Amino acid sequence: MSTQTRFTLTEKDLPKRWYNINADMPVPPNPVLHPGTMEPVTPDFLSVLFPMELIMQEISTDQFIDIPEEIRDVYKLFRPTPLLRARRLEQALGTPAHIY
Amino acid sequence: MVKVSYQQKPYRRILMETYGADVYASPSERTEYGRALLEQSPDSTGSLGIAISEAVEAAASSGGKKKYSLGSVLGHVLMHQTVIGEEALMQMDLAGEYPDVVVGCIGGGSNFSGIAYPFLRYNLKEGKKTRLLAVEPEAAPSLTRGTFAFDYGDTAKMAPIVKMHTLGHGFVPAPIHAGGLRYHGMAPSLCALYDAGYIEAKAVPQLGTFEPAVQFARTEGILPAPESAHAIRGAIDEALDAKEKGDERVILFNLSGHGHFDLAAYEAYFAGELQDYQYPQADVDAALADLPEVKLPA
Repeated sequence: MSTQTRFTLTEKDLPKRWYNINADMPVPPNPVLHPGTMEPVTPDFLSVLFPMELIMQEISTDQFIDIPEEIRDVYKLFRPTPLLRARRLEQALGTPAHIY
Repeated sequence: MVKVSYQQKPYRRILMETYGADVYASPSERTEYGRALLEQSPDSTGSLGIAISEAVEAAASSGGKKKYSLGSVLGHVLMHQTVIGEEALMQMDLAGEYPDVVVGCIGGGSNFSGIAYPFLRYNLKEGKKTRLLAVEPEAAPSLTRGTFAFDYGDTAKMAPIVKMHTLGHGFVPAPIHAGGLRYHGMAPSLCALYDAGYIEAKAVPQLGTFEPAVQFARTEGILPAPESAHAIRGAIDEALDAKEKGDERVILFNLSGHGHFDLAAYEAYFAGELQDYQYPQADVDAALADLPEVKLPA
């Protein structure tokens, strides 16, 4: 049996896309309503609060959205984060379960 | 920053200031809403709902110069966190295993969705059967005890209304140390998935999270944040259940943050000064009366 504890990816494995659940929701979405009119909000109303790019992401139904290179550059400072198998915790609990 | 956190966790404030932020305790004197609140209750310790109202007011009254950046609840925030689950999918592959259950703590839903949604994709598209377990505090049990209804995202009723499991926008939480989990609502996509049975949830008491957090620190060397300790509670409960049933369950949980800024909470725990807070049923019921009346077009 393997005794490996750390499962690490390299910088080149850093995901290039975010996953958008909107594309796969098995239940229909509910509208987002304006707090004054109680009518569905428009991108114009939301643009007072949020950058337009984020509003477009919010309403997108694409399954994946590309992570901008500028963001990936920052991710590279600390990602990918490691996955660890918590073997010592498993031992302390005396469990046959595998905890990651 | 919610006033109770501003007071409980000064090092988080200093960290933000180090990165260049100006940090104000909410309710503050800097917004109309904050001033009105302070006039009514000068000793208010604040809430996430109030802090959101002040942030929304600051953005809305800035003539387009300021935008509101939030840390959870909305779809795009959850989506940004999916980088966690996308990495975990590859890493589980490296380990030669696939999780039977994925566990995360929930306040607004972002770190949980971040690790769980990529695995949900395989449940939905490829018939995988991974259970997705969200763990919330008993002191702010939006999913397990809140009502699934349209509600305001903030206390001053300035933020958009969404359908979510809510404890009511007027919710003022008990001062538990898992500050990130004290929100009255929850991400709408996560609530809809919970309501339809695609996600499981359970609520745990504060003391029930510090005990496994200490066990985790002593076995694995990592001191978890009080928020992440909820996920550890969930993972350990799964592991003990697997022990009872003799099954080699594969459990994946998200350790969303370290607890180096929460040592005062650990100190209070060791001194026996922490307590559990059960959110009163009367408050759950009272919140219902204050929900907005929404008539959807047919």
